[in-house]
Amino acid sequence: MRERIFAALQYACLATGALLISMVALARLDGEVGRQSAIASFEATVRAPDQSLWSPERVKDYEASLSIVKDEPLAILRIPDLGLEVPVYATSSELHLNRGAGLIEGMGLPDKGGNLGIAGHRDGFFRVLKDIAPGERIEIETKNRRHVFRVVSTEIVEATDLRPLADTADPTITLVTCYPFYFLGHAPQRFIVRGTYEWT
Amino acid sequence: MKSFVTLGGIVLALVSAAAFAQQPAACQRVVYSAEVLARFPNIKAACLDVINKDGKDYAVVKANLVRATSRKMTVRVKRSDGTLTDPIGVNVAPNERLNINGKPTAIQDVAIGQELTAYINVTDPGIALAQADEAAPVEFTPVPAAPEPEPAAVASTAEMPKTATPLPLLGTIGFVLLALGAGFAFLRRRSPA
Repeated sequence: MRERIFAALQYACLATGALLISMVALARLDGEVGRQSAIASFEATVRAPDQSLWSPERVKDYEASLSIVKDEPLAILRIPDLGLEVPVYATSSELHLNRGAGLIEGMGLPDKGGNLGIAGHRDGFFRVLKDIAPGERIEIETKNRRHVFRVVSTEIVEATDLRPLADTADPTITLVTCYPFYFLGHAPQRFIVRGTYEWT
Repeated sequence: MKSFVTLGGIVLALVSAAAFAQQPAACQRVVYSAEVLARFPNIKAACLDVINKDGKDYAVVKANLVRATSRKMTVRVKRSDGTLTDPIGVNVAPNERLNINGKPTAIQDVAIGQELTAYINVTDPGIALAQADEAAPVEFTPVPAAPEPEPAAVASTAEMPKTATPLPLLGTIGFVLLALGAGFAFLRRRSPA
């Protein structure tokens, strides 16, 4: 009897454990594939291929194909010192944050100034922010322009403290992720990275 | 030390004089009203050219775009020393096309950091952005004596984004379950058949 109970528990634990780990691995894989394909799609629209040898019909079909791409990122966020390169989507919904970073609703937009708020998962793409330091370069590439910000400060705030999300007169960037970086469940705080615009 | 300061002063004066001398003659000839000089104290040095439209003179200056909406652009005019003025709001029409580095650019495609050409009325304090269509009528936005108000330090969003996933928790539970499964297998092997 005891042997049967142990056998049942053993198989149940192994099966459920394997299932959970597979789910986590699949979610990570989906995020990475989504990140890479979104960056490739964005770069294809920003840097149009050499069409000098293409037929007019092929050029027309290519342009038509660009207009039907759904849910493409608005920009690419890069922090070269941390090796971070992620697409930035229009919202910070769960789906978008699984595939990159997302704009924080109600804050500034890329290209348009104000306080550009971007959120990312602390257990995903934004975990590297734990190593960010003042003076490092943050790039936002949109279809119109490449913007450069410099990190001026980092801070840890309570999740209810909305001051970092307030509008600013000059262009700034605010990256938001949960804190502590290694924490099981809903983290009680937020890690904030603030950067100012670098005029060129 | 004193000689260095004196020498520095002479060099600065020479550089300023040289920069002023390089300005188009029109910029040196144009007469600004007291009101315009009060709003733009550095306008003489910032002036790149003077154009005449409908019998009125306008100083041509360069400005950095710091904020853009479909109806209003906020710019900082570049001074001759590279510094920027306080932000100035300029009204635009949504269907307008601005001249940015010689390229016609729709309002929705302008981006912060771009250098715009602006016209400043030399008699009434007003500013307009250079349009792609040079023949289009120039609508000036009056420049108030006080600078643009700073945005309120209040977030327009109701809450911080949720940036944690249950994945680390699920992964941890998964590993714990695998360890338990291995433990049960060990116990089964040790127990007598």
